[in-house]
Order: sequence, then C-alpha cells, then structure tokens
Amino acid sequence: MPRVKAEPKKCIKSNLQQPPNSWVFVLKGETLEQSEQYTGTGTPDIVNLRHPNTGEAAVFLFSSANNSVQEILSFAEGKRSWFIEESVKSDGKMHLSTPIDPIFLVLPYLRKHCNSQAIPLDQLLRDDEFPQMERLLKCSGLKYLTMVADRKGDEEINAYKYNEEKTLAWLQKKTERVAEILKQKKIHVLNGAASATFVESSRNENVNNDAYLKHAHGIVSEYLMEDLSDKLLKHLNLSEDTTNTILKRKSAGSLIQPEAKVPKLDEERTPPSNVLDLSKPTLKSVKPPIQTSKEKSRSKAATGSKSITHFFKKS
Amino acid sequence: MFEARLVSSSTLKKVLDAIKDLLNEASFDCSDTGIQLQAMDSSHVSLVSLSLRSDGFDKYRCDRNLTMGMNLASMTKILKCANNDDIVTIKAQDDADSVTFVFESKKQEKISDYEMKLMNLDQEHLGIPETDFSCIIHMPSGEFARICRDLSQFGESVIISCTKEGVRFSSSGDIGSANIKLAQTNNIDKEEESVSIDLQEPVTLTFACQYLNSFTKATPLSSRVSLSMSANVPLVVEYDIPDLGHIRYYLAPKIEEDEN
Repeated sequence: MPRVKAEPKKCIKSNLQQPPNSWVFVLKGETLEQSEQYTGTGTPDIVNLRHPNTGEAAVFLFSSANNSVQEILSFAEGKRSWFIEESVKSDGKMHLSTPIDPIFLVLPYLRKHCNSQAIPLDQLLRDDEFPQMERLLKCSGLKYLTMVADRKGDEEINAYKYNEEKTLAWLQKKTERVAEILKQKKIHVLNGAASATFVESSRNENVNNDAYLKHAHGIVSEYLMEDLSDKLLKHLNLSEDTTNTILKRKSAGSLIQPEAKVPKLDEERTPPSNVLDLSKPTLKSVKPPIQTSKEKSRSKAATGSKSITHFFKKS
Repeated sequence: MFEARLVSSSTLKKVLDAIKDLLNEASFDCSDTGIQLQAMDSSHVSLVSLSLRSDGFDKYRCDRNLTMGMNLASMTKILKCANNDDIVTIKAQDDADSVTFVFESKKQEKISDYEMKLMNLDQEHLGIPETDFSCIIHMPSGEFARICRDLSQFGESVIISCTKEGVRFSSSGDIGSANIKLAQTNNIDKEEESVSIDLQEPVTLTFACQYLNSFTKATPLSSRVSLSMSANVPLVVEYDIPDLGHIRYYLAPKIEEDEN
C-alpha cells in the first residue's frame, strides 16, 4: 500500500481542564479540511473497528463524511512528555494516522461469511461487537470491492461473494506497489548493515527485487489474516523460510533502515495481538521479584513437581 | 469488631512457626466459625491450610467476616515479645488496616499491646476436592521429622512407598542411599508411639525433601502426624492442633523421571 507523504499539519487537541484525555495527534491537513465542504454535522471521528490482522479491536479514524478511513498508529518511547502551551502532558505518546484501503477492513468479513453465498454489503458489515463497522459503507474506497469479490444479483442489492483468485491478484498488485515505493525510497531491506550512501551495482537487482517484494509482503500481511498472508506468499512465488529470516534480519537490523516509519519498526517487534497499541508491550519490563536464598533453594527443590494449582481448582 | 483470645500464647507461636518457613505473608480469613488460612508457597508446589475453630478460643467474637493480610516476619517479631504463658488477644476493627496483639501476663500485672499494619494480599482460594486416599499413615510426628531430617542428608527427594508390610522412606544421592522402613505397630499401651497404616492399595510417590522438612516445623503442635497419599495427587501432611483445629500441608508429587 503506498504511503503518500504529505506535509503533516500538527493538530493538538488539548483540553487543559482534562489533560489525561488529550492526545497528541499528527494527521494530514486535508482530513480536517474536508469538514468545510461537507455540509453535515459530523467531525472526524475516532472509532474502534475490528483489525483485519488480529480480529481484535483497533482504533481507526473516519473522516467527517465517512468517505475515507484512516488507521491510527501510536508511537511511544519510554521517557517522554509533551509541553503544550504552559502545561506538561506526561503521556508522551504520539498518534499518527495514515489512510487505509477500506477493502482490507472488509476482507475478513467477506472471507468469513461470503465464501459460499453472496450477502448484501450492508448486512455483511453489521457487527454487534463493532457497530461502527457500518460506517465503512459510505467509504468511497468500497466501490472497488469488485477487485476481491463478485457482485451477485441486482446492483441495488449490492451483494457480494468472495473470490479468492481476484483477491490474490489484487493483493499482488498492492504488494508490488509497496515494493516499488520501498525501492524508490531506497529503504534498506537486505540483511546486514549498509551505508545510506552505498550504491549497489545493477547486478544485484534481481536479488533485490525479491527482497523488496518479501519486505512488501510483510507490510501488507500486517493487514491480512495469517492464512491469507501465506496464500499470498505462495501466489508471489516466494518461499516462506527465507521470509522468516528476512523478518529476523529486519528486526535485528532495524536501526539501519533510515526511512522506515518508526511505528512500523515497533510493529515488527511486537506480537500481533494488538497492532495499534504499540507502546504497551515494548514498555513493559518485567522485574523479577527479589528472591531470598531460601526461596531460591526452595524453587530448586520444587523442580520436577507440578504446580499445586494443577490439582486444586481455583474457586 | 474482631476479637480472639487464647489462654496460651505458645500455641499461637507454634502455629506461626509452622507456617512462616513456607510463607512470607498470608491472609487470615476470620468468620464466626473461626480463623482460616490458605496459601501457597512462592514456588506454588505446596499449599498450607490452617484452620482454627472459634470454640477452641477462650473468647471469640467476629461480627463481620474479615480478611487480614499479615507479614509473617513482622508477626513473628511481635510474638517474640510475648512470654509463653501470656494470654494473647488478637483484635481488629471491621474494616481496619491494622491488627492489635495484646499480651497479658498470668497475674495481670503486665499488659502490653502491639499494633501491626495489615497488607493487601490478593490471594486466590483453591478448592480442595475430597479425596479417598489409597493409604493413610498415622505416626508420631517426632519420628516423621527425624526421618525427613535424616533422609535429606542423602538426596533432594524422598520416595515414600507404602505397602501392606509397612511404609518405606528412601532417598539416594552422591554419598549413597538410605532406607527407613516402618512396620505397623499396634501398641495399645503406647498409642502415642504407634504407627498405623490404613491401606486400600499400595502407593509409591516421590517428594522434595526440603518441603517435607518445612512441614515438620509443625511438629511441636502435635505428637501425631498423618500422611495421606494416592497416586498422582498431592500428599497431605496433617497435624492436629489439640482443641483448636488443624494444619494441613499439601505437596505435589515429583513427576517420575522413568515414566514414559
């Protein structure tokens, strides 16, 4: 998915009476400006939707007219606070939003419910857990839903049936475009460190193409269920084991990726439990409780025994 | 308001000695039926369950159920301040954050009180199922303590094997091996010293010596101990506290290494 770089406009929602409720949010200016053309009452809205990779709740931003959706990434490093006017906000998190193709959000629903039957889109997107899912209906991006599904029946009914072949072709295009952008920006995806000014000879280009494609597949996979990601990998004719090593290398060599977005790096390291809440797992440093020598020897004596909780149920 | 009075502080000292080796802190659950304590050691292999009945106390009053989380090291320090024949009273308000220990000397000429801060311990209670044990061994508690102490010199674990001939404790390690066999003795004259085995089927289980040694800290509480065993369930070591209640230790067996 191409990430369009635009001049970010800093928008600080600060509420001095209730500092804990404020966020530091960097978002593209046009997201806010749209509200001027729009005659309705809505403002950009932050809602919970089902994340296409994890299936769990994640935070997304709808534009005022619901016609575009952005994902919100939060970036936090341990010791940081913000100065906002004359006050200090102790939560040093920074939130960024980037547009996301709504088809990614719809895809899990399609795959789950529309494998054998066509379902009208408005029924498909009814999710009791995430009622806001219905707002996706107005997203302009959904007119391309035929890229991943076949429309059945009357156009008015707007019913779709999932088509895996089409989906994989669509994902392939997405992946190739991401790879292209990576290449354009000269993002280092190979193993080992390299100087940012290092010019590679053209001989390596073929090898590099594969590496870029693999890296791009990794980025796209963050928005796909695991099985679909594997299928995409096969579709792209990339072998799985090398991908794993690349991923490993990626995280090991993450510091030398000069232009990679910082939240992305975090995402790679954290397990995909909740992709958007990046700060928590990295900040947690579990301090082992201090053990006395007696406790140590006792825990040594305890080796080879099952825990007593194994025998007695918690009441 | 909670108030519990014991004629002799030595009982409370012994109870504390019996649990403080395994536990650093524990919550005492007080209700109108008495005081209960249930806690696991830090390695979660053993469980201590203490029960003191309200009728065993000289005076007992508990208006509302109350859980008192106590640091056992601090409690030991306080009880060291009491003479063995002092009368001890434990007092706490209904939603108190501290508990008071009052020690009165026999002739009432000296009364001291000590207040201790309570802790917030979030301990889970485990439901202990009723088990029909394959064998139950009743033996003198001193004898059991001696066996555990002797065998712990040889190895880290003790194999307890109970057959209808008797019970055998064995251990082996770098210096060699040790076996202690006790036969059933039904000595009516000296019931205190008898070994009795109530056997349904033979059992052999392995346990960590160090835990058994910690359990034997309860030896001063009672002259008798009972060991209940069944295959693949925790061992129960029970000491009766005369006229007051009991203390039970549960210990998970070691997983047999040669078990495939």
